[in-house]
Amino acid sequence: MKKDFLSQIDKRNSFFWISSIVILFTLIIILLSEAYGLNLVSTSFTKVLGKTLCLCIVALAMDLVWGYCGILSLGHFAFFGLGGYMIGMWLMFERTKNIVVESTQNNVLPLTETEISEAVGTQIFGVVGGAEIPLIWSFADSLLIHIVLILLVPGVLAYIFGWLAFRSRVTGVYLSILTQAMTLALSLYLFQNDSGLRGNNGLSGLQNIPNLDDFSQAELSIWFLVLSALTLIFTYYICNLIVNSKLGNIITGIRDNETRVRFLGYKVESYKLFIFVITAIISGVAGALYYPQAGIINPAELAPIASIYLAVWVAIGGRGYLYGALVGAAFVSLASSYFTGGQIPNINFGIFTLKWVDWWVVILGLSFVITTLYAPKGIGGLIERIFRRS
Amino acid sequence: MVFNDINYKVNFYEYLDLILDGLSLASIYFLGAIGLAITFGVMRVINMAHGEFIMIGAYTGYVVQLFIPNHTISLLVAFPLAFLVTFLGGVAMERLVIRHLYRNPLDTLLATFGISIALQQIAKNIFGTQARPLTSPEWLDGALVVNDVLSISLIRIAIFVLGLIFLVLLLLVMNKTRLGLETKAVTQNPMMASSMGINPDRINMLTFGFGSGIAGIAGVAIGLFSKVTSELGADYIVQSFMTVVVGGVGNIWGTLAGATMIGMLQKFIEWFNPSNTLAAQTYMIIFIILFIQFRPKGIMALKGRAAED
Repeated sequence: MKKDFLSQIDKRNSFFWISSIVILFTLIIILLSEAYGLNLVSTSFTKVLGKTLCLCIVALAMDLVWGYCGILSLGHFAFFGLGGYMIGMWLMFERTKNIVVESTQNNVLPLTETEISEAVGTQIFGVVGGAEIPLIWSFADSLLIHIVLILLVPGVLAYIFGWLAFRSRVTGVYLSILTQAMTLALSLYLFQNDSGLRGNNGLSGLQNIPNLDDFSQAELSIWFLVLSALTLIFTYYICNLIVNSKLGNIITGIRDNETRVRFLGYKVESYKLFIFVITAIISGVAGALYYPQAGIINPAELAPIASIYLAVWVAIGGRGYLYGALVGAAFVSLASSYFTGGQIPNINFGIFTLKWVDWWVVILGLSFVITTLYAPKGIGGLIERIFRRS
Repeated sequence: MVFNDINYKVNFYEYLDLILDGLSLASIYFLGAIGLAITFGVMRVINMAHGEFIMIGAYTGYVVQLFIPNHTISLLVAFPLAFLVTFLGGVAMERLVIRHLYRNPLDTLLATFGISIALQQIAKNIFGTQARPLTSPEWLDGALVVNDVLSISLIRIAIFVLGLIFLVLLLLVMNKTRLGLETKAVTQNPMMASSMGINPDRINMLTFGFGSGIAGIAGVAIGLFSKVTSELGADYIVQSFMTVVVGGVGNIWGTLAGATMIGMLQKFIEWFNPSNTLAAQTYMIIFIILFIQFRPKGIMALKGRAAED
């Protein structure tokens, strides 16, 4: 009986459970929220929760590519950041344009197109000593095109990179290092002032959604929470579908023995490429939802360390378990913001005071070590063991 | 005619300057990667905490200077001491963590990443966030002025010489000593090595300690020309791995070739657009990614049985 329950969790029904939990969680938050409920959960905390849901989405992607397909990519946070940049460009451009138009409303003559674009250029690129709007911002006034770009830019980058890497059979550790190099290159490139994306200033003010000025941040935070929750459920559905299909069997086979799958006649490269691209797109979408809630994106977000953290979340949650990725990402990121938030009293050991802000990362790092040594399957593995035993 | 001659000479020295610039950057990359050439290159352990051993070495140098004001003597003390500290650190890490993970290199990556962020934070807690000075001796302050176009700062020469010394030292240890021989035996076939009377556990421990120790010494050298902060090592880690991979895993000459290629290439790209070093680094990395496509096993690929894995 217990075993049946477990196999259900492992298989299709885990979708039912996860989506129920996420929906229930979202409803509770709405009920307690500032905007629509009892005003017990602050707007900033709602944003933290919404951001955590986005991190769960990108963790799902990471689990699919690493836990199921065996590609330890240390670059998926780059796709996440790119998604953020793509939505950020529209948000920033449209809002600046609205402000410019508004401020000159009382003028006798309305501004010409060129004047508007000049004023917007100075507003946005003044910090990096420019006034002209770079070419890559050509479509920044169209939300539709930028939504397409959120999918397209990470997807195409992943396709090119993956095609090159898988074709020449770069695997294992080498691929990890190569993906890390890709992230580093991208983040260094964005750090330049003339990258066209405001260098190390990044894009800011993203929490203000243009044309929705009438709604308060409290309301917007709930909308984004709901949107993130729905996207998470949808992503889980897609991942679950892939994992439990024939395709899922093949990619798990690739993880366990790539050569054997190749000799069985499958085109390993195409399967890997497919998974790599689809997870990159998922990551991009997650980033596009995350950064409007965070309010700011800068190139430091794309640094290689972020992607390693992502891998660690999945490892702690349990790779090869979709729900494990969710648990890992939510648990570690919430715990981190809790412990480094400075709300926890320091512990006094007499000669030595344990300041959580200072020592949390040390504890976190050591817990990574302990997880890999003693619970290589992570939290998901522990849950499975508990159910199997009883 | 005379004018042409002068132009020609100026050009010549400018190119020479560029090459020397590239060489000194190459020696920095080489210093950063040299410990990895052993732990990753020979033992195949992905040690993400490698950068932190560099950092520990640099901080050791700084602490020694607090006690010994004379910069020359303090350096002479710091080098062996840094080796000792990081050697012990490496041995402890191998015993406690890495020993259990030899079967799965990607797990090592995660565990050592945990160690890496923990060590970084501990250093931050002890030494604070601001950069600490590690001052080079006065006799390294000047520059070797050849003419108006070409002058080489002595510290760059010292780094280059140090890189050479490391190379020779490493080659001697790996090729001429018993430890080197046994290390090769253990990495190629642990079962066979142990039936020949070699204790693989002991060799793995010593080799990992040796690689970490080398990283520590390199840290003192790197600390001399860059700021000593808790993030010192993290700045080098990705480039160091790239250096080893580009050069060819399992080959010390490969690491040298990798460092030379990366360093030269970066300076050469910078030369086109001197104001923008970030762009140069970006293009350099893109070039490396493309390069790996054509030579996945690096410049000096291993041949034969050792190449299979």
